[in-house]
Amino acid sequence: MNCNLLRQRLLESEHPDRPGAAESRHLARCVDCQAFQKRLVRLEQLLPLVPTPAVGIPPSLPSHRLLVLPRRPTDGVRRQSARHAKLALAFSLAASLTLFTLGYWAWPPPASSPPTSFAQRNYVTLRDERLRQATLPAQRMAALAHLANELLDEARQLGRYPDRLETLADHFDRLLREDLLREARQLTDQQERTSTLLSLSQQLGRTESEASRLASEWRSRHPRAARQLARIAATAAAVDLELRRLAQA
Amino acid sequence: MGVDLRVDHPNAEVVGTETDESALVRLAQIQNQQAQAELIERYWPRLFRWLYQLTRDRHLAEDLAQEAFLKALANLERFQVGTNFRAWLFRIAHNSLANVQRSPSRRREVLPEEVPARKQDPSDLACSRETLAAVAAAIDRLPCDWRAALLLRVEEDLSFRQIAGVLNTTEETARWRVFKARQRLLAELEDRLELEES
Repeated sequence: MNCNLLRQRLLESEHPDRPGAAESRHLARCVDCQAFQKRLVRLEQLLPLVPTPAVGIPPSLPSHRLLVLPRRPTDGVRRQSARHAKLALAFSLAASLTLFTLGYWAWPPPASSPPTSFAQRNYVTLRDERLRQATLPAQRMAALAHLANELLDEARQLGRYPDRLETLADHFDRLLREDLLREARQLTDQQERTSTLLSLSQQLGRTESEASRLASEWRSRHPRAARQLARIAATAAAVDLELRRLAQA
Repeated sequence: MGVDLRVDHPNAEVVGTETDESALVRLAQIQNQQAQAELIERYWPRLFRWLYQLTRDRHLAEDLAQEAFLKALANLERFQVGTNFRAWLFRIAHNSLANVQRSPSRRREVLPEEVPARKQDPSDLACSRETLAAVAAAIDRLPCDWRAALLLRVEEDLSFRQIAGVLNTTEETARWRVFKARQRLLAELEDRLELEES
């Protein structure tokens, strides 16, 4: 067997890391082919490490989150069913609210000039106003998270104002990457830290998702604005990841 | 994850802690919702990941994965227990993807995304972020059919025959697509992989 044939066989094999007897004999005496096989195996080890977004199971599909079933039929069944009914009701209400909110957000941006804009204000002034009443790190984080939501609300109206949206994306970036992460690192109580950060991380996940969706929708109509929304989404995703790391630290 | 699949359906036999896929599918076929949920939780991340790597659009990938699961659940009685559920599910998803690709009205424009999430810390396998980024970019440049086949082989560990079933092609074509994908990736990444070795 020559080198070309050996390499072809490895490339078309289901398991290039487990060559057959004939291939093994060639490999045992050919350093170049050993290196080739090593690169191929290495490549296949790397493929599963390529990053992709993490997306949860949508509520339209059955999930254990909503299915806490009894182990056997007992008197508890009725209580459990009632709990399921309440859970289902709560979930339906939340879903309706989300749909309503998304529908509202998805409404086309108005043609007229947007209202008073955060983008026209100095970021530090804006931030300090929000933090004035908040003393504890958790309170400061809540205030910053609220401001992040308001920035996103405004971003939805700025499809036709890419310059303002760019400034807003800058604000968003500083707010999340600098201020929010700084406050997050100051949370000392482990329990508070975990619950606060994970809750915030969920909010950022929604922000990322919404900003990405809008960016896709706007890409042809408002390409410059879409790029800024994609920036906002990327910032939310990166900070979400960092918060998860901090929560698990 | 082992799941306690004890009775929530009058016809379901008590199976205790059951992780076997065939048993799960049997229970799911008789509308055991916990078994259905277990199947979804088991395969959602993998199906989504595969679709994302084919579309590079998280929303489209999410829609397609959801559609695939809903179709699979609706047609579970047609699934032949004992054959590969994962391959069947991926085939449904691939059919939906093919429909989207055929229909210009359903095709969506995609923005390049920054993707921070990852399955495993690269440091676990002592590779650099630059290497992973280069691998990701090289995968993106592969023709979609080659990429689909290679990822099913490498990440899902499907045989060429199963890949052929998913992609609705022949076993030989599936083998060829994997061959071509590996060949091109090695050619593009040779220097980087050699650097990794040294």
